[in-house]
Amino acid sequence: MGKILVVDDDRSTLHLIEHSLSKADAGLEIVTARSAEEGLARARESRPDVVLLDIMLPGASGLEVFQQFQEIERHLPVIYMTSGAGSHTAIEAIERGAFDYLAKPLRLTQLNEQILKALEFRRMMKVPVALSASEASGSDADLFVGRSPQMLEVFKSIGRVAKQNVTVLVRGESGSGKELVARALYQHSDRANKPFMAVNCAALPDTLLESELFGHEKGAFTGADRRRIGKFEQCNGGTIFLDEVGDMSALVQGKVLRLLQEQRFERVGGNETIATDVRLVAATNRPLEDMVEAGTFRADLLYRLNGVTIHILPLRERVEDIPLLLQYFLNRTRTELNKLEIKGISPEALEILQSYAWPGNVRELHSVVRQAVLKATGPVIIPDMLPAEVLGKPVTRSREPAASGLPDADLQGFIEQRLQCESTNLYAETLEMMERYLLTRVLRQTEGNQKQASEILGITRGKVRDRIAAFEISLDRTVGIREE
Amino acid sequence: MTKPRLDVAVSPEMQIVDVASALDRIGGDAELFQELAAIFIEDSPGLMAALQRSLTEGNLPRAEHYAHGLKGIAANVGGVRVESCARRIEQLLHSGELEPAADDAVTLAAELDRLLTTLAAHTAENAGRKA
Repeated sequence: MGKILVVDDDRSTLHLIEHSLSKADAGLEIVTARSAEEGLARARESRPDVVLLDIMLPGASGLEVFQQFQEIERHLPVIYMTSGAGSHTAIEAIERGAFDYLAKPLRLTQLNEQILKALEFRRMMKVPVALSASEASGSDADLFVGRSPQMLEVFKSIGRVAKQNVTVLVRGESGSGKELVARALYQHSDRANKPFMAVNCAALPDTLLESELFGHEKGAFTGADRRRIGKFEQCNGGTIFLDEVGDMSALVQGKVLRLLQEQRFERVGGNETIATDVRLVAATNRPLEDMVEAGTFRADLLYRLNGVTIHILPLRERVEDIPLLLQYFLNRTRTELNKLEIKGISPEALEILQSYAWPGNVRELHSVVRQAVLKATGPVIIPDMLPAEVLGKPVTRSREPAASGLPDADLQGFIEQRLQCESTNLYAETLEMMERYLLTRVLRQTEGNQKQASEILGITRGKVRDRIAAFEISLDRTVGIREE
Repeated sequence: MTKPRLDVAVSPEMQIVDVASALDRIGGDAELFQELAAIFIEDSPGLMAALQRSLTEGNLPRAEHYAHGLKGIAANVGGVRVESCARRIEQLLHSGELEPAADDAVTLAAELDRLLTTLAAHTAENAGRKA
């Protein structure tokens, strides 16, 4: 979904882009223009979500055109296309707020990646988070649903701290709505007309995370063939959402701490100190206090993040929100999937859904509703349409460790199964599955020696310790997953 | 009439069409490559003619624009010799060196001919294979 405007006077580039993007996502609408003037006119009339702009259009200065696009709509993501490596203008453009740049001749994988990122950036900033049904007048808002006393506390906290320029730490289980809190804070803050950017610290390896946050200089490490502006610099004046802060390496923790204390940092491999003014919202599902004790998280950073904390309880601890959430997602899903004949949920199914433990919280609930709507053959959702785990049936997933005591390592089988279950958390699930096997296997090799294991894996000892605890790996004579 | 210089921009070991790199950039899509080649065959002669006209008229900014354009479309189809030559011309014009640029344009025209012939043959070959 989304509308992309491409401005380039080269027909083959236009063809390339149209071909690649429509292959990547049939729902994308692509609008083309062959000059700056035409591009600006099309932008005014068609309101694109992302603009791809050739930096050397005839008779137009790249930077001027960029500014004119931003006048049509502030924070419209503009991605430059440039044929000069390390083009000075492109870098300057980014320093002034262009979203990113692509080198020509275009590489389709990079093109698709950039467009996806830009669309996601757009979604985060644009889709409003409404705190009440009346606020959600347009059906495209993400409604923050809840009427339990616990959720009302969350809404009140958001209202209290949104406008203050303070760091907020959002704590809650995976899938409980931490991103929604972050976006709600942003939209109700004084920085609502500045950018909002999100980074998932668990999704990136350590060096890439540092570069993503702080940028890097050309040559800072292998593959760093041009200077890169990091999120903290790109989002100057705005708000940054750091998800899964517990997954930052010690080095990144140190840099983030300094940024919070001094509003300054250097890019990876650089000596230039850069000042930035960013409001930070952090989130975690990890027990940070335990991690401080274990030495894997800095106490001074926790102290800085902890000033204002918003807790979101897991769904099973606020069961009165379940019917509300079911209704909300049912409405959305039946419209999205065009199954308007579905009217509701049967009392038996509702009872089952209310007594389920929801380990994946609201995200899981959304996924379950979706699966049920897809399976539904009549106007009412009945127990038969609910997935096996909700019904309490044994799931045909071979999670039992093999005779060797090592966990399941069939990557392909696992992914296929989860795809069939329509998981919406597949990256994290697969990462966990991989890590379980990898850690267990390596620790077996080193006979439980964590230092050696950390050397083989190339990660910190703290992280190894962490995973042992998280996966309950037992370090008896034979290393294996604890049978409990 | 000055002879074309020995052009350092285009060296003997460079291919006329680096199909492998082009395919790699576009995810191995051979059909897409053919479409890009077709667009190149249609658009490049016009750009070359416009470049030559601008050089004759001594209009450096215009000539630079057309050289830039040729460089870009050649790059999309893996025409590395034309790309390199056009880049050289673009740089020369950017620093105001009209004469050397005009010299190089002779080489460029020759390289463009070779590229067009090669692409046409490539297209015919593939059309034959499909039939």
